[in-house]
Amino acid sequence: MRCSSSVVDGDRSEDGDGRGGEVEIRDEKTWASLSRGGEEMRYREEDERHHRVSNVLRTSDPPLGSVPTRTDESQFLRGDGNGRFGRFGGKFVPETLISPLRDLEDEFNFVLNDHEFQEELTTALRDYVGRETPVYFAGRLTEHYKNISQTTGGGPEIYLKREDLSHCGSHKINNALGQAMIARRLGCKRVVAATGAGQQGVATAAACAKFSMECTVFMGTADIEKQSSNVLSMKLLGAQVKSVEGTFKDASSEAIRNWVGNLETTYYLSGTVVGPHPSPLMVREFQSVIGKETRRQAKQLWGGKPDVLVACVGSGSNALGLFHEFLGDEDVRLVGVEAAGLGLDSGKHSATLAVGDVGVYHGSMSYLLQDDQGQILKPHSIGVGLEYPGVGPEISFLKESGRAEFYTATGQEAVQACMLLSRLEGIIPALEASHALAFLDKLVPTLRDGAKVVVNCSGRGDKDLDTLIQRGMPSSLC
Amino acid sequence: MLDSVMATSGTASTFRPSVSASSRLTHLRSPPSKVPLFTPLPSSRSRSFSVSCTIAKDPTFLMAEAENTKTAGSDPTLWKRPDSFGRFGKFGGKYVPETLMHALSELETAFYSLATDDDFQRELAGILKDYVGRESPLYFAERLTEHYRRENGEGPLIYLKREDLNHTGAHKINNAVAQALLAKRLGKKRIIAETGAGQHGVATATVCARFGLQCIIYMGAQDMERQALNVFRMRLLGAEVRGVHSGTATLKDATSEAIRDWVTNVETTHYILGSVAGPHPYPMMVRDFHAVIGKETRRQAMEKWGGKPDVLVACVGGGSNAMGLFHEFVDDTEVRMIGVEAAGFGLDSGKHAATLTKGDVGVLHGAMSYLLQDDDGQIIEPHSISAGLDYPGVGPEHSFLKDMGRAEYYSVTDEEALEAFKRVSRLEGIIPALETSHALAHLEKLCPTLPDGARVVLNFSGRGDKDVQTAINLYYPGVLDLSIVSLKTWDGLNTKEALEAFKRVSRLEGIIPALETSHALAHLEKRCPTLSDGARVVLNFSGRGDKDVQTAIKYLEKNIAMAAGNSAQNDLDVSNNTPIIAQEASIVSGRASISESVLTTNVRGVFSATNPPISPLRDMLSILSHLLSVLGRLLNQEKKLQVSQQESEDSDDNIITDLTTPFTDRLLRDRPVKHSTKVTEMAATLHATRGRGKRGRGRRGGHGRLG
Repeated sequence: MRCSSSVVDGDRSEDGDGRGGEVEIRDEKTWASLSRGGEEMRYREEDERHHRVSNVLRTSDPPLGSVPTRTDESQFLRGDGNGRFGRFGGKFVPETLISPLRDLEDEFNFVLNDHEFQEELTTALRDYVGRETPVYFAGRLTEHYKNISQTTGGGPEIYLKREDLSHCGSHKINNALGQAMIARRLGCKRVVAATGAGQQGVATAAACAKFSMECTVFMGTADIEKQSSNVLSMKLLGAQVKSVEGTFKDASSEAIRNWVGNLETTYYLSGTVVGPHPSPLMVREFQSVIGKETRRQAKQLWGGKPDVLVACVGSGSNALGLFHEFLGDEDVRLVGVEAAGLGLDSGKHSATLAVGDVGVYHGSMSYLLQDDQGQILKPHSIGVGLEYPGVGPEISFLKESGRAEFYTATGQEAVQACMLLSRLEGIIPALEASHALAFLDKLVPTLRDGAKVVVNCSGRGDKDLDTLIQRGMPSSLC
Repeated sequence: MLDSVMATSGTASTFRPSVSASSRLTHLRSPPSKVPLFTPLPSSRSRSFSVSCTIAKDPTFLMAEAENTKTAGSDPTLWKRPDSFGRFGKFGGKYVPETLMHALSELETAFYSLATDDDFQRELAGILKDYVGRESPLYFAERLTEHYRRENGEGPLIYLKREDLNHTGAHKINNAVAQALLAKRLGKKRIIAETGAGQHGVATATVCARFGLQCIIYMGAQDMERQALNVFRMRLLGAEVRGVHSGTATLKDATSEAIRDWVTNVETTHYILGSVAGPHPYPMMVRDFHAVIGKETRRQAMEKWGGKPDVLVACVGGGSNAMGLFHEFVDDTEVRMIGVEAAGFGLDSGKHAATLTKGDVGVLHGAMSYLLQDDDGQIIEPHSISAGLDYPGVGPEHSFLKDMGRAEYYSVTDEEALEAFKRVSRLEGIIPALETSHALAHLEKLCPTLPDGARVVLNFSGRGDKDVQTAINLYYPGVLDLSIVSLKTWDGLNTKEALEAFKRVSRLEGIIPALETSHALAHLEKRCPTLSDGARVVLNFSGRGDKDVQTAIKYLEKNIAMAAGNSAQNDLDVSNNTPIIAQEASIVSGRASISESVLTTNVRGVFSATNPPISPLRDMLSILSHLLSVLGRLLNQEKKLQVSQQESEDSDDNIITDLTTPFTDRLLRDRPVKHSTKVTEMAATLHATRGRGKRGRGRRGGHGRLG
C-alpha cells in the first residue's frame, strides 16, 4: 500500500481539477473509488432517506483491467487478472474447474455493471436484509474504557457497525444473496455451500429459499453438535444438511468435491474470501457494502472518517468487507483480530496470520496453519466461524504489505468481551465478533482522545448461548 | 386470582392475600409519606379510585383536546381514544389499588409532557435508528404473492413489515426502549417487568443494560424451566430473574408478583408493561410507542406505490404489534384492519387464546376488556402454541375497535400456524415467530377473497429463531397435536419426577425400578391425592432397574465436567444430572415402555401416521403424558442422530418407521459427551431453579437469588 501512495496523490489532484464541487468528497475517497460517476455521488449526498440506495456494485471498482492507468502495485490490492494479490491468491485448481471459474468470472464482471442486477440486489439488501445497518455509538462501552484508564480526557469513542441486525443475524447474507443471484443468472438450479458456525449455511439457505433454488449445505459433525439450532433453521428453510466428518475445512472440501461432480447444474457458494479466483474478489465486493455504508455514516455522524477499524478475522470476509473501502485512506488504521483459542503456545488456536506459513489450500495461496510436511493443522476457536486453518489471500497481502495490523484474542477474552457488551449495551454479540471486541482492551489505552473506533459487530450471539452456558458463567454474572 | 387483585380493591388491604403481614403493614402505612414527586396529591385522598383519577385531569384534558382537533374529521366521540379517564368506549380505565394511582398519574403526566419534549423525541429517534435498527423495511414478498395468485393470474400483493429485523428480533424493543428512557427521565433507577415466554423480559433486560438501570424480571418458575435459554439471556444482560412459585407459577402469577413489587417500591421503580393491556395510561403509552410501525408503513407505502395499504394484518395476543400497525390507519376508513388471534386446538376445544372471538367483557390487570373467563369471572388458562399470544385478555383498544366494527378479528389454530411457519420459511427464507405465523396463516383464508392487486401489509412482528426447536419437534406427522401438549405442559418436568420416583421407591421399598416403570410410579404423586380412601391401585412394575443404575453412573462420569460445582446437594447426587440421565433413560427405555404399556395400541396409532389420533384423548392424557414425552424425546434424539449420521438422503421420512427398530445400542456407544441443546438448556434451568438459597456454593451458586 505504501508504494501506491503516489498514485493516490496523483489521482486526487487530477480528480480535484476535473470535478470542482466534488473535491471535498473526493479527497476522502480512495483511488479505488475515483472512477465513480459524479452523478451518483451527488445523488448519494442528496438522498436523505434512512435507507439509502446501497449501489453495492455500481459504485465499486470497475472490473479488472478496465482502468489502464493503474500501476501494477495498485492492482495487487484488487487482485490482478489472475486474482493475485501480490504473491497470494491465484487459481490452484484442477483443469476441469478452470472453465466454470472463467464463466463465473465473466458473469461477475458483467453483473458489476449491470443495472438490472444491481437494482434487484439493492432492493433485496434494503427490504430483505434490512440494510443499511446502523453505526451505533456505544456510549456505555466508551465510558467503561474511560473509567478503566482513569484518565480525565475523553478517551477514544467506540462505534459498532451493527451487522448483527441483518437478516439471519450476520453479515453473511450480503454475500449469499448476491451470489445466489449470480447462480440464478448462470442457470444453476442447485447451490452447494459449506458452513462452520452455521451462519453461512443459514444465509445460503435463506437466499436459496428466496430465489427458489435447491440448497445443500455441508457441515462438520462437530459443528452440527455445537450449532444445532442453526442446523434446524437450515432444514426449516428447506436446505439439505449433509454432515461431514471433521470441521469447516473438511466440509469445504466435501462441498467443492460435490460441486466438481455436478458442474453443470450446481453452483458453489463460497461464503468467505478464500478459494480460487474469482471467489475472494466476488465475496469481497458483495461484502464491501459494509465499509461503504460505514464511510457514509461516519460522514453523517461526525463528518469525517473513522480512525481505527477493528474486525475479527477467521478467513476474513467481514474484515475485508469493512476494510476494503478504506484501503486507500492511509490515515485509517485497520486492525484485524484472530482467534488465539487457548493461547498461541497451546497449539489450539486459529491464528493463521500470527503463526502460519505461506502455502496453497483450497485453490489459492495464502497463510495457512500447517505442519512441517505441509499438512493442514486442525484449528481451534470458541467462535466456530473463526475456525479455519487458512485466511483470505487479500488479508495475507494486507499483512505482508503492512497496510493492516493483525492481533489475536483468546477464547477466554472473547467470552469476557461478549459478557461485557451484553451488560453494558444490551447487545449480545456473536463469539466471533467478541474477539474483535476483546482486543479493545489492549487497543483502547494506546489511542488518543477522541479517536473514532469502528468495530464490526458481525453477528448476533443467539447461536452461541449454548456454548456460553456450557462454559458456565463466572460467578460475577449471577 | 389476579383480576381479583387488581379489580376489586379500592383499598390496599384487600389485595394482598399472600403477602406477609409485615409487608402489608408497610403498604398501609407508607403511601402518605411516600409522595415526594411532582403532581403532589391531596392528603385526604378519596378512597374511591374513580375519583382519584381526576388528579390526572389537567394534562389529560389537554391531550384529549389535541386529539379532538387532530381527528376532527371523523366522529369525535368515536375516535377519542382514550378519553380523560383512559377509556376507550366502555373499555380500559384504571381498576387499580389506591397505592398505584399516584404512580399512574405521575406516569401519565410525564408521558404527556414528553410527547412534546423535543429532546426526548430526538433521543428516542436516535436510539430507534442506531440501536434498534429502524426503520424496518416494508418487503414485497414475491414468492408468497405468487403462492396466493389465483389460476387466472389475479391475486393480492403481499408486503411484510419486517419488525423481525429489529434488535432482539421483535417489535417489543420499540416500547421497551421508550419506556426505559421515560423511566430515566422520571429519575427511576429500578425497572421491573414480568414475562411469560421471556421475550418481553429479554427486551426489557436489553434496554436496562443499554441505559444502565437495575432490572428485575419476574417469571413463573414453570416458565423459567421451559424457557431456560431466555432466562440465561436475561442474566447475561445483567438482569435479575426472580422465579415466582405461587399459584400456577406462570405468567399471571408473575404479573401479580411484579405488581406487588411495584406497589412496595413505587417511588424508585418503573414497571415496564410489554403490551397494550393494563391500566391507563399503559395501553395508550405502549400504543404510541409502537405507532412508529404504522407511521413507517404509511411512508413506505407512499414511496413504494404511492398510496395506502388496502388491508393490514397482524396477530393479536395482548395486541401491541397489531395496535402499533393499526393506530396510524384507524382514521383511514378505507383501510381494512384484520387481527388474528390464536385458536389453539380449536375454538371449541376450550384450549385457545381467542379472547375477542370467544371472551366476555371483564376486568383484568387493571383494565376492562374482553377476557377469557368462566361463569364465576375466574380467568381461564389460555392456550396457544406461541407463548406470546398465550394471554387471557386483550388490549382495551382492540375490544373497542371490535365493538365499533372498525377492525375485524379472526382466529387461527396451532396447526394452521405451524403450516404457515413452514410455508413462509420455505418460500421466503424468513423464519417467522410462531406469533407472526398466526397472521401469516390467516392469509390462506383472506387472500382468495381479495380483489386483484389489493395490497396487503402484514406485520412480521418477530423472527422465529426461538421457535425453531419447538416447531421442528412438531413436524412429525401424527404426533402433532399431542406433542404440542407434551411440550407445553410437561417438558422438563417429567424426567425429573421419574428420577425422584426412581429414588423414592428404591429407598422406601428396597426395589430398584426400571426407569420406565419410574414414570408410572412418578404419576402416583399426582394421582394418589385424588383417589378415594382405600382405593386399590395396581401398578405394573414392568422391570427392574439394575440396567439403569449402570447408565446413571456411566452418565454421571461423562458429565462430571458439566455438573462441576453443582454436586453434593442431594444424597444420591443424581438429581444434578437428572435431565440428562432421564433423557438417556428414556432413550434406553423408550422402546420397552411402548411395548409394555397397556396403551400400546394407542401410542402405535399415534406414531404410525396412517392412523392419526382423533382427539387428544383427554381422559387418558395424564397417563399418556409420560409415555408421550418419552416418545417425544425419542424422536428428538432420533432426529439428531439422523442429522449427525446422515445415512439416508431424506431422513425425515424414515424416522417414524425407524422408531420400532432397535437402535439403542448404537446410540449409547456412539454418544458424544455433549448431547443436544435441549439437554444443556434443561440442565441449566434445573440448576437455576433449584439453586434457591444455596448461594455461593459452587461456581454457579449465585443463581440462587430467586425468591
